[in-house]
Amino acid sequence: MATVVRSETHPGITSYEEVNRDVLKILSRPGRGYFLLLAVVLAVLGLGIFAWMVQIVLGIGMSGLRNPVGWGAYITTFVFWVGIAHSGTLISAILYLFRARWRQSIYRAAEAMTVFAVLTAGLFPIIHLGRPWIFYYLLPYPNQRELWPNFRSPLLWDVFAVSTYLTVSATFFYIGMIPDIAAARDATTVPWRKKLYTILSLGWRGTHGEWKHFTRAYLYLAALATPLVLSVHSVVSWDFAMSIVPGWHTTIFAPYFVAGAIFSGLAMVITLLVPIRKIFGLEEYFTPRHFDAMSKLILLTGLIVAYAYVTEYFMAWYSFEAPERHAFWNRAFGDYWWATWIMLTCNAIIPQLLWFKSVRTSIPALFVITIFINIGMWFERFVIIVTSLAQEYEPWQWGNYQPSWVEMAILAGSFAWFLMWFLLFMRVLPPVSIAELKEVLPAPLRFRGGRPAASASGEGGR
Amino acid sequence: MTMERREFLKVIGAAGAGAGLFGCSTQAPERLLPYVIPPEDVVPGVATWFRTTCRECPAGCGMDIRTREGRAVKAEGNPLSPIGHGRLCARGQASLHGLYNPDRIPQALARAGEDWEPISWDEAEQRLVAALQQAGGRTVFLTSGHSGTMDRLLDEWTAAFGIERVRFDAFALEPLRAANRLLFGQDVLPSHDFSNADVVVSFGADFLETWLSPVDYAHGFTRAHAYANGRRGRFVWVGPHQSLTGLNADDWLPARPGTEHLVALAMARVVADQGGQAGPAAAFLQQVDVGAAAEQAGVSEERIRQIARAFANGGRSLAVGPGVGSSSRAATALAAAVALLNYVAGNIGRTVRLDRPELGAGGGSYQAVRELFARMGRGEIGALLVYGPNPLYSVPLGDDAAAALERVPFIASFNTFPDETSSRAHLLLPDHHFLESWDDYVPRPGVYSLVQPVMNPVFQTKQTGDVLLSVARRAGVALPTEAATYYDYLRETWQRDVFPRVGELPEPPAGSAAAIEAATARALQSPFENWWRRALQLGVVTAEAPAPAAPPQLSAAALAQLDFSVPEFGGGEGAEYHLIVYPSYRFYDGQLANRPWLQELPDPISKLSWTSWVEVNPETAERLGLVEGSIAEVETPHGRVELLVWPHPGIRPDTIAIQLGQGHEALGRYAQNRGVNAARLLAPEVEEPSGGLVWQQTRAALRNTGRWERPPESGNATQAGREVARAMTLEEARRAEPVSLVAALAPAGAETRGRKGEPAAGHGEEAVHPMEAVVQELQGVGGFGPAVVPAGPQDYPPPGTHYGEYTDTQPRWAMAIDLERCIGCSACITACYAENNIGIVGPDQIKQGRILHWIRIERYFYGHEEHGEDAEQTAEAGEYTPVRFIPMLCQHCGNAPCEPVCPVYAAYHTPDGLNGQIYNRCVGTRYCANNCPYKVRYFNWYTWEWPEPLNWQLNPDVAVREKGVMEKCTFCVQRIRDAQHRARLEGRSVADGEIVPACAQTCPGEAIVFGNIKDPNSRVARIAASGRGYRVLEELNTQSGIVYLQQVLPEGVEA
Repeated sequence: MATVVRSETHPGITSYEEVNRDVLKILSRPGRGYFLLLAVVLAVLGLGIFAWMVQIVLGIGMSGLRNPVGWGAYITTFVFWVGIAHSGTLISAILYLFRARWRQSIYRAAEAMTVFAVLTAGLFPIIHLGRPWIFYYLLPYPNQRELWPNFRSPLLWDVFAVSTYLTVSATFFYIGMIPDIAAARDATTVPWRKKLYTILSLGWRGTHGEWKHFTRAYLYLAALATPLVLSVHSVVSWDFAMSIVPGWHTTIFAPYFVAGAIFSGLAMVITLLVPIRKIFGLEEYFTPRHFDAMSKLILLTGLIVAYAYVTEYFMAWYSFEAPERHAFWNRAFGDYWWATWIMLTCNAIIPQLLWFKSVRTSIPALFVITIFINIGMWFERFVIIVTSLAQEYEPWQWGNYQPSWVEMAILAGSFAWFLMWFLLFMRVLPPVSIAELKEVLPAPLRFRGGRPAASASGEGGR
Repeated sequence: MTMERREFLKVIGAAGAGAGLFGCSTQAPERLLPYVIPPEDVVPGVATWFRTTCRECPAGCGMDIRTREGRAVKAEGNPLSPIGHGRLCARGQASLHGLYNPDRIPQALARAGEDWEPISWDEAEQRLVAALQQAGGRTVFLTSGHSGTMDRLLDEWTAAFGIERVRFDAFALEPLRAANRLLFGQDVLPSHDFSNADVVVSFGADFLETWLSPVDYAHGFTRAHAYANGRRGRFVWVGPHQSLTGLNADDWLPARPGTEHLVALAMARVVADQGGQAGPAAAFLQQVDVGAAAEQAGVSEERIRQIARAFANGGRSLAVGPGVGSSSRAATALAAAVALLNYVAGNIGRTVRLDRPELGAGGGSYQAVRELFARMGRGEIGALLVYGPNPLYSVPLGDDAAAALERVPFIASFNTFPDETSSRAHLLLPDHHFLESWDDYVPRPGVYSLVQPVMNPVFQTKQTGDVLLSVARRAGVALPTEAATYYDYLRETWQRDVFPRVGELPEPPAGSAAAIEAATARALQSPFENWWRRALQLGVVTAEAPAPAAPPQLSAAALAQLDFSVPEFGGGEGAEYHLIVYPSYRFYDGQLANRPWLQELPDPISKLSWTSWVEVNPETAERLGLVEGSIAEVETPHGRVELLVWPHPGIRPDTIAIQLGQGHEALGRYAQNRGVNAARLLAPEVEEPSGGLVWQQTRAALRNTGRWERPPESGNATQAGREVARAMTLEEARRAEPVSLVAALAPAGAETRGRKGEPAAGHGEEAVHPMEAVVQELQGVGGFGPAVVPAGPQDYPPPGTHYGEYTDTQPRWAMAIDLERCIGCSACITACYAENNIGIVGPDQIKQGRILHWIRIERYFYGHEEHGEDAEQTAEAGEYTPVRFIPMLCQHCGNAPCEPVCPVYAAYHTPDGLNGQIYNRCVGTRYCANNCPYKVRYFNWYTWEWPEPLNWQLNPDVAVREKGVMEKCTFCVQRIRDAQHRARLEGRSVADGEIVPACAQTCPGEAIVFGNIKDPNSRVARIAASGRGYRVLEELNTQSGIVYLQQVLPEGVEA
């Protein structure tokens, strides 16, 4: 028996067969725990939907919004989810183009997270409307009145940015999954799964021609998605930066928001992968090496975010503009000081622990740190949006905002909505890329054991 | 120009048709049927205007009511009225909420146990007759102090029935009347000419709020006081507490409570020493010791002398007082001292007109009603009729007042609303609202103001005049009249008394509909009929004023008999703070507390709505650990209340103040159980010798309950250095605006309104100033129109414009607001609510910052932040409370931040420079509000509703907004378009002054001027060119369309 050749990234996986077996076993009938969790998630989602219905029927006064704080928890949560959405595409597209060797096992889950986060984020601009039933006024649809939306408005750019991002990331997600779905099709015996996978795999057979087209398409889509990672959150940041609100009107916002988005997205990937790894026994797939690599990226983007914080405060001081200075003074020491200090602690101080390799490779430590980062990033958006609006130019119209139960319920509901999709995804679609993972495993040696390594459809390599 | 348009518009429903169409009929089943024969006067979509007289307070301002399809929708001032000058206060604006109040007594009701049983008017009158016959001579008719024909009918009626009549008004100002009776032998309330008073000293008289004739006084005060021609009037407030009027003062002498009369005497002494005409009082004044008076009052002697010298040398000065809030046990002494001061300064007959008294206010006294209640308690009264007053609420009558009412076997009330007194009656005979009534009112001698119905009655009410006539017929009591209805009685009176006295009336403008009608009618009708129709069109007619009588002789003997000692204040153990209760600008004596507009209106000073508060000096508040919104307990020997604390820099540290008007137990859903009734803290004590109530009588204990509640309030106390409301010193103003722009205020072609000696219009042109560039810019930046680019690129953009968004053919609507003329009264806010169907959100939503006032008055207390410790010391020393008012509304920016951010073009720019807001298009992202630096965009968080029949008031020209829609000031775009359409139909261009937004229309200080700033001769362009002009947050390059004229600080105060 020859020495087993081990993969650099996944030393615990020795054969293609193992990959197929480990991944496809997740796509089996879940146990009671899963359904219980799903039930809880659906209950919370139901609460969120109820709250939204209450708001639609009675009016958006059910939120805590007021003069002068026209945007609050909804837009905060919108930006939060858009931010979360960024790491998936980063990992799958940018790191793909850069040939980073640690992306293969995690990118599928990250991409799924992206798609579901955009699905969640996209709801909030509609939820926050005063008259959500006419949200389609924001779309440039032809009509006999020849009315068009206002292309100067950053909110309209937002509509395009988010819908484009949803389209591209969903397409990218789906295209990359086709060979794996085919593998699942071949492996499953459950009738509805068979039918579903047959349709979704688009008749994939794993021929050379198919692989050729597939890899081309994947490359081009990666190239198409890459600028979106930067542009979408830049556009979201312009919702604020294009206004004249002190604390919003600043040129640093685009890079600041993009860095923050990647920062929070990667943190969310870790937060999600840690339990998945444990529950489905994927320790060999998500190795400390992966977490280490992601942590380094978190540390880098975290430093950029911290730098942006410092720059904002410096520019406020340096501008000598009373409203600008007041906005930042109010942030740090005003009525919302607690939010600001939560943000600074979670986003600028706690991530510094990642300088230590021992922390970066400790899964529990990372789990805790990334949860803090997620909390901090929600508060970052809250601080930017709410404190800036609360005390603007006109001192007569200063006022503090407090989220209402409706907003809290919808926030919780948004997490439930996201988790619902993720839970369904986990059990229905292959959560780890079978095909791409095989790229980083040593090619099976034909003579070893004298049998084919895996089913034909799952065969990777190029 | 305004005048002529109005004349044209106001085709008044005259006598015959008017009586038939809008008379006193009470049949009111509403059916949606098209007109078979449409009434001639009603053109759907076109407003009909009726002239009448405001009866919300005794002042009697002339009123124009705009009706649409038979419903009154807006109240405005009648420009011909010498009382209102075409202006109204917030109370007058809100009179429509009295008319359409859902809590009005809907029909005649009889008590059935705890409940009320509807009865027919026939039966109601029979019951009244029976009750009167049963009670016989032991009947008392309690009425308010009417003037005019109704007063005469009441006298004749009570005389015929042998009934005693008791007059009562809560704010009758008995001490003022008594002092004039004692000193001059004239039992009157004088009128005051503020427009000719350069120096005004008020001893607690809130003449900008409720005192005698507030709109006239506010109008005159701003004319004389606001900066013009390098001069500025001076206004001194004497007293422990500054109300809105007090905060408009340039000097504050915070005299101890009950010592104001000493300050007045001391000033009179100084004026006499300066060569004043002391006359018979010379000997009396020689005994006055200025130093001792200053010490007792706790103010500096030097300042008393200095102010008195200004008073003596001012040429035209005026001292007023006392008001209700400063009526202590020495109230008559104060009134006498003030009269003496005026006398010595030579003001009697000039700025104080005893020969032209205010007739509306009072006539009765508190003492009379207290005695009445005592008699009722003893069971001496067999029947009580109430018409107007609500004594059970408005004054303290002792703990057994309600029990005394219980002892009266029969009480009938003619009041419109179920107030505290009426709700204890046995028979309710609700009067028409004054907007449904025929009547007249004589606010001053020779001023005859007509009250005519502007629409069919809303409810099944009946005018009290008609009830009285009918009851007399039923009872077989002969009245000295043949009139069958009150309308006939009124005409009879006018034909006999007013017609001969007034004589010829001005003709309607040639060519107008009124002129055509008059011409055809002249031949057919009697001279009086023609005259009467014309009088109804004018609304108010004036008789030739008698030559001013010689100044009355002062009685030195009466003076000597008055007690000028400092009164004691009760209170007992632990009661450290003098309690001042003062009238509410919004609710008057509390009878108006059921008007939702007035409840919603932030109080001009505290900016609180829907509640009561106690005003505490910040220093005292700090000592007691009280902050804004703390719940404090105020206790006097007579009562105990808990209410919000509002720290007020304009009050002495040893004094607290509570506003009257809230704390109703009845009066409907909007008034009931809101705040506290401060009158409940007082003892029923009569002031000698006037018979008035001692309003300032006791000390109170103030305790911190330790609780806190978010107050329903708007606004920040200071400007945080933002320079929103700017001010300049007098020196700077003289440099910036050497020549008056006041002349520009008078609309071209209208009758002269300016006071004598004002420069003619031409002078304004010399005043073009650094603001010229701003005006040019505004003239250039209209909106998106066809850009006319001259010549080559070197000429682009044209001078004065930044963006080249201009057009030659379109106007640029703009506004100029003179902060010198803004007294903070907030009438504009209510006018805006009425015109624009603004939702009423209630206290809970106001706490959430969701009030919808399109125009708001920001009230900044200066000092503290900007001025550091110096300013605080200034405020403590009480020399001047640094307060600034600024009306803030949509600035209609040329380069508006709200417009580009709206994703659906709901916010857009009109070619004539307005920031349009298309409600139907708005999806409610609220981005525009976030991006508006002025924060003048308001969001409909819910769909606001108007309970039937309040919704009848909604202006059909303005959309009612639903939830989720942004709204804001439109510059009354419906009025702009109306004038433009009218002008187009008539083949002319819109004249300057033809378009008047609701806020500008009602402003008693004439602070707001609107027009096309592209027209260099327009008033707005001329005023905006003042060197005092500035634009708020101009550094943001919004190119706002509102130019503010800086306030001018009192002499000696540094900016």
